[in-house]
Amino acid sequence: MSGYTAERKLFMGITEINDELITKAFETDKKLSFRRKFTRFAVRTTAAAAAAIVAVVGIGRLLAPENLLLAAAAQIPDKTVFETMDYEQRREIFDNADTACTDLNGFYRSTMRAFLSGTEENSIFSPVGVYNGLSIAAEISGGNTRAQIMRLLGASDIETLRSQTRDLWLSDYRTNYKAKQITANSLWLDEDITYNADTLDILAREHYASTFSGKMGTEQYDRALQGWLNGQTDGLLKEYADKVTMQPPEGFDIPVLEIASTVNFYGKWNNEFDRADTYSDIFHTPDGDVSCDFMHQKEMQGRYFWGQKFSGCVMSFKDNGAGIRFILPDEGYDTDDLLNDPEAMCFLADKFPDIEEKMPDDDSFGSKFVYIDLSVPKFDIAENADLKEGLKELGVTDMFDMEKADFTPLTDVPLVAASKISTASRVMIDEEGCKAVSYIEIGFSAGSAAPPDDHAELKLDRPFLFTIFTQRGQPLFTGVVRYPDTH
Amino acid sequence: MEDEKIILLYKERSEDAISETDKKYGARCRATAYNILQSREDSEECANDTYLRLWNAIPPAEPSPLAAFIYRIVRNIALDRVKLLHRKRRAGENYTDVYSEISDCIPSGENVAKSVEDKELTALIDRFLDTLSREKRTMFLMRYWNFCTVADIAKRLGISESKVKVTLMRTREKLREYLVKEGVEV
Repeated sequence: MSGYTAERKLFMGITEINDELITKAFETDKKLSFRRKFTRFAVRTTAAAAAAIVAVVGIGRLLAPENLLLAAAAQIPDKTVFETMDYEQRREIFDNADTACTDLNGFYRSTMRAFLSGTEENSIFSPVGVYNGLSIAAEISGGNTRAQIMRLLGASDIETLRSQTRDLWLSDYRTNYKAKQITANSLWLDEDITYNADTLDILAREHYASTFSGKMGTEQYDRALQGWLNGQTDGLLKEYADKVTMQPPEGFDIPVLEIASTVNFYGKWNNEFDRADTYSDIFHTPDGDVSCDFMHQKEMQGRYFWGQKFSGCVMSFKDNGAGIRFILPDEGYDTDDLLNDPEAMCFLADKFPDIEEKMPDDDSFGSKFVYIDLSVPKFDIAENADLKEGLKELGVTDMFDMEKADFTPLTDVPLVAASKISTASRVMIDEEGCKAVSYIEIGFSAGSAAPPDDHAELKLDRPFLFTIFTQRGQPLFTGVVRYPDTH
Repeated sequence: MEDEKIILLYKERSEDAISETDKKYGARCRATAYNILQSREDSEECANDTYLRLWNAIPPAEPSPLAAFIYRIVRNIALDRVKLLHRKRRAGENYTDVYSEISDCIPSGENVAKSVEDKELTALIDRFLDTLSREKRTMFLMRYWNFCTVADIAKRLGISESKVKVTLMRTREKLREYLVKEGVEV
């Protein structure tokens, strides 16, 4: 046997090794270097945490020099940790996040129905933001109060909820100069009340929540909270955030705590709209026709979807894997009809792999890649909403009832209940991309549309629904646009 | 984008499939081709040829894992190309080095009792690689599957070039001993 043949044979033997080893040959160099980078990460984490403290205390010093105290800093992992994870670690987090998204589907659907239906104005909120706020509420509550929240969130136990929160956070956290997708949580305490330090530690570690302590009811402390909200939402919700107060509402004597969660998103379109193709056209609002600027794309390659009562399409963003789905009711239907339509709810709330499993063989609803002529109104809409009644309708009642609420995991103060839960959100869309921010504050055609062959037209010139999804399929923002460009 | 979604794009015949493949695997494909060919222009062509083969293969193929499927294609395309260059004596130095190092692993005739089929040989190599520590296995695969240079391996793993050379030499020796012990003639 010649030497050449033997070498070649051995070479081919190595070539045909199993797929897992090949994947590892390309990926595991990262794993090995991870160990070394991890050592450096320990240093970087400290620096990041310090920076966070300085940033937050900086706000406090500026606005409330004498009273604000950071009781526990959110133990947010350095984002580079995720980037330096090896394939298996990332895969595990992605898989867990995918499962969590599916598990949360019931929560997303029910809150969308509860908070978007039945209004005459624009409606927007962040399902992820509400989830974050409620998961903290679950952590600080006990007994039936916690059980009701957990039932809505679809989590069987508190450990599951914590790992869900962590995996969703890690898998979808993005920030770079082109894309941003950041959630932040905080808890605001009264300096004269004793709180359970273990619970605060869990909030910092598992929910990445910072805890602040100050004199509840003072203007300075209110301004510190307002400053935090404005800082986390780039000042885009200032008109609402500046009115947030920790003064107890009527019927409550002492303010005890405030939960604040924010979501901040920015993405550039994968296919930007050409400004030269933006021109005024008619949008049919519930009150009559108005003219507004429409952006146009001709023959955009993308995913088009349809159902018995609607059609829609997906536009994706660069660098964060996120996308927005526009859902337009067919003539004769309105957005409330779609919020009660199981097919439309798939596209509004589900991640695509889950939708595909539900698609029937008869094409009565489905999706395909086609060329789309798309017309989208430029819009900038902002809304605030009180979620209390909606949550009560969804079975979360005890946390608002002073006689029944159980917040003993956080404090022994008697008769503590959530006195308010409100949210404000803003979504802006233009030729370059989409910016969306939100905060949630808790104080205590008839007939089937046929699938297109290879070309579809979609003109969003009447009230429509949208959802911005993260790469893992979490609905970051959702809303109904009835009046475009009203802000 | 997840592999499943990329495969869906191929099945939908969406040209986004190629851009998404390039986004996710392009750098690795070009790096592998470059390791073998030592030419940026040739490695770019290899990556493009890889996408064409993927386009023709999916559907009906639905490879899983997609990564390994892609890496095999780009490696085979680059090796086919380098053989041509070899005949023209224009093959890169790195490729010829890797080839000659592999000869260290070939058992000498007097110690072997049987000749094995390709598949059996692959299974033996799989088992051998399983016996190695993660670091040694990675080094071996980076060098002999992915044609990384010694300097590149050292840089990526954060160790010295001399440690890479010594470790690779000992691993080759172990593979040779292993094949002898298994009574294999290559």
